[in-house]
Amino acid sequence: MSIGKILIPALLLCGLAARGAAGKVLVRWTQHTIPAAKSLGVMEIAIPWSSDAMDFAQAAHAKGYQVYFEVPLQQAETTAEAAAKAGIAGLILAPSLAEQQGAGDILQKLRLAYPKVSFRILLSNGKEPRMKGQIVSQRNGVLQETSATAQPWVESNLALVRLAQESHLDQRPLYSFAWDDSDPLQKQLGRDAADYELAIAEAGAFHADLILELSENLQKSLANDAPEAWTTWKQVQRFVDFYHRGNRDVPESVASVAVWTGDANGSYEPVNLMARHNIPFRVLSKKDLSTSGLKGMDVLVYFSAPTKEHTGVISDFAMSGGTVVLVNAHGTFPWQSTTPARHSDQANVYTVGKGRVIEFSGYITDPETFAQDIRRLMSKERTPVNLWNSLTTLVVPYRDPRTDQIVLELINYEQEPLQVQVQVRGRFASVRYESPEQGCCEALTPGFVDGFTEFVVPHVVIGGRVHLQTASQKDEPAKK
Amino acid sequence: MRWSRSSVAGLLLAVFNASSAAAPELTLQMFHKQKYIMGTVFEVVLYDTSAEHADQAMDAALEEIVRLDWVMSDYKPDSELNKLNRTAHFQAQKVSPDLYRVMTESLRYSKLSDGKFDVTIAPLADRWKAVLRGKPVPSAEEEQALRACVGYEKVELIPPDQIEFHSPCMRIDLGSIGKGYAVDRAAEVLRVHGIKIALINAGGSTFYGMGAPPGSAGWLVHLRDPSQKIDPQVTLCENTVSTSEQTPKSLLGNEPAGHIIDPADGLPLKTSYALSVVATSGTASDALSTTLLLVGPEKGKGLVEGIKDAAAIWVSAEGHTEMASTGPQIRTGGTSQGRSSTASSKQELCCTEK
Repeated sequence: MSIGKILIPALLLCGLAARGAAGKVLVRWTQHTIPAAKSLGVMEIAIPWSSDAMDFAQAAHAKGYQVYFEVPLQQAETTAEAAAKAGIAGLILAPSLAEQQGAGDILQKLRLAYPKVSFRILLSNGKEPRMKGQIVSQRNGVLQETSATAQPWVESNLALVRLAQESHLDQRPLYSFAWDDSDPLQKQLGRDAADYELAIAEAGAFHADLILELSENLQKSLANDAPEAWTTWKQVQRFVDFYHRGNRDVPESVASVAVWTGDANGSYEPVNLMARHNIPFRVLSKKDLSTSGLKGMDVLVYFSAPTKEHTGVISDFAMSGGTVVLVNAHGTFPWQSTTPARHSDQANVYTVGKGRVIEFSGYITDPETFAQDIRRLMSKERTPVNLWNSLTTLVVPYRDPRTDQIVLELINYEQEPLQVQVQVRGRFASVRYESPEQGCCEALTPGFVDGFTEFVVPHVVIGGRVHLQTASQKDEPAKK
Repeated sequence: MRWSRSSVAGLLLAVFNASSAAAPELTLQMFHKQKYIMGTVFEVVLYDTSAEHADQAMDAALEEIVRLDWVMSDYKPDSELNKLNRTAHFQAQKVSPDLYRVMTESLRYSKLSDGKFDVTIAPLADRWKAVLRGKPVPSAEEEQALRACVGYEKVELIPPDQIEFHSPCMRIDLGSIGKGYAVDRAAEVLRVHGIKIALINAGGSTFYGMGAPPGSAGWLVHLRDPSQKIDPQVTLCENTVSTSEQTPKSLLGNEPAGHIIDPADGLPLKTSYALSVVATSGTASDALSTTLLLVGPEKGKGLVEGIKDAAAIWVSAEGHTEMASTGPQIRTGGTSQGRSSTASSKQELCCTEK
């Protein structure tokens, strides 16, 4: 089952979910006792729905938690009724794959029937964030496959979040993932602080909400007040605090590549690889696919056959200098009246005004090469941010719309200290770096080359944030 | 505990210490560790009876590769190689034993291949890497100027430890041999730590198999198959395999480029083959993989015939294969196509000894 097939209905449902959710970590609690919310430093917990969940929810509520029930869709109505009576904060609906098509209707009915209960839809198909090697443990030994030297494979949830985030601007995506404990000893040993920290850093950097699954051992040890467990959790808490603090202002993402996913099934993996290659992209909503919505974009990747209305937008975008990549878009289009400027087995390249339209005739069977092709199509001078020698790191650029200041979120999936070389479009007099481990803020020395600011972040361990200000922004008093 | 850092797989095998009937039964466990080095992920898998000992051995092996990255990196400005690249045009430079050894090996393969394998390709390779990042292809004049910087004959090794360049714009790139050398050194470190069964993976392009996992004849490695029809395989036991393949063609009809440059014409190699080569060391298989991809199967088979205990397979995107072997077996689709049955016996013997 492709992740895209699971994704589309879930994304549609997200648009119907509650507004105004903050960028938060919810802890999924599965044990019968829990420490006080004040100690845990996380105020919201998600409890998988069961017959005795209500009793535990009330006990947790008494300890200071806002409690959400995670419920299968078919039990949502009965649970909602009980939740409304018991003062439960809300329900997180986890539709199965088969239920996703009908979940929107059920959600609307629930909202009307229980206006005081918050309802959210969970993207339960997140991935454990990590850097992966190639070795696959199998029952009969170790299976290997050789290749040309491979870049580190990074499992990230950026595509999942971006597809949800930009399609449905009225709420933050909420996702969860299951730890890969296929190895029994790994399962027995559980996870260390760095694993939880990376998961939190990733969700925080992507401005998404996360239901974090804690190992049974850690939950039990925390509930039993075991000092070692609390030492681990105190480390994790720094990340919860850091990313909660950073998410308050909700800046907008910065991108030069626009993505239209008419066919999310076919687009998920290419978008995932674009994310992995640090291509700053934005998934367009219906209202964004317009001439004004594409302003400032360099490349438009369009994953379906264009409608008549969109054909005009595409032509306008190319005429003004943009590059359009149409994937599997069979049909007759105005730009085809000219001879292709270039032709290959699967692609025709048409010159349109100052720009070009590239028609790719098939499905994308090699998303890695496709993503690298998109990077090559981006004009260097319009690329918002580049990283060098940092193949295990993702960067997500944001702009604060009130101040125009740029913020870069860095996530290092290797979880080992890494020196990261960064190039940001524009001239910034002040470059400051903060991280959960080191706090705020270390001043970095910028250099200026060809319209870009360059600097080195000397020590990215798991996650961190770079603040860039121009000379005039630097001189302004700090705004609240 | 992260799987990515260090963990123990579920394959637990009881082994009996034959030296003493009274000795306690030990449990042989499989351990795994990975680290990002040289722009890729190096992985070590090994079998041992002690988690602590295994951890120490894996750390030491990976640290050895980190150390060698500081010797051979062309990305780190302060690496020993980059210092050499900045200074060896002026006068002979004293270098570390590692750098001298890997340069000696490099020049040996350059001579063996009549210059097809050439670590002085850096000026051209870097220019074509820039094309992969979106820069225009070099003009004929630019290309000619860059080609003048290339040529292994312009590198002089002065025993026991000095290197001099006889070209003002020469630069060395050890990308086609360095990871293989690092794998060899890491294997040595594991041996020093008493490890007898291990697999080292350098980003998928070179694997080193030490000994054999319990109950098997060696480490089964599937080889790169761009056709997805052939499924070539090799069982490693005290030997290595490396794979080379040109950068995949652009899907969108962008300008052709590639990271493997043919020194003969200074242009990215055009081939649809993926090449895998088995040899007795990572240094050899890494260097040979680039060499044999560049020379192609016709000449490459002859080269393989002259190398002891080597085997190679070229697999095209269409599923056409060419093979050569002086010992090790490369099987395809579950059938053995190595020409030497004695190679098979030898491999099993090797692994039986462990």
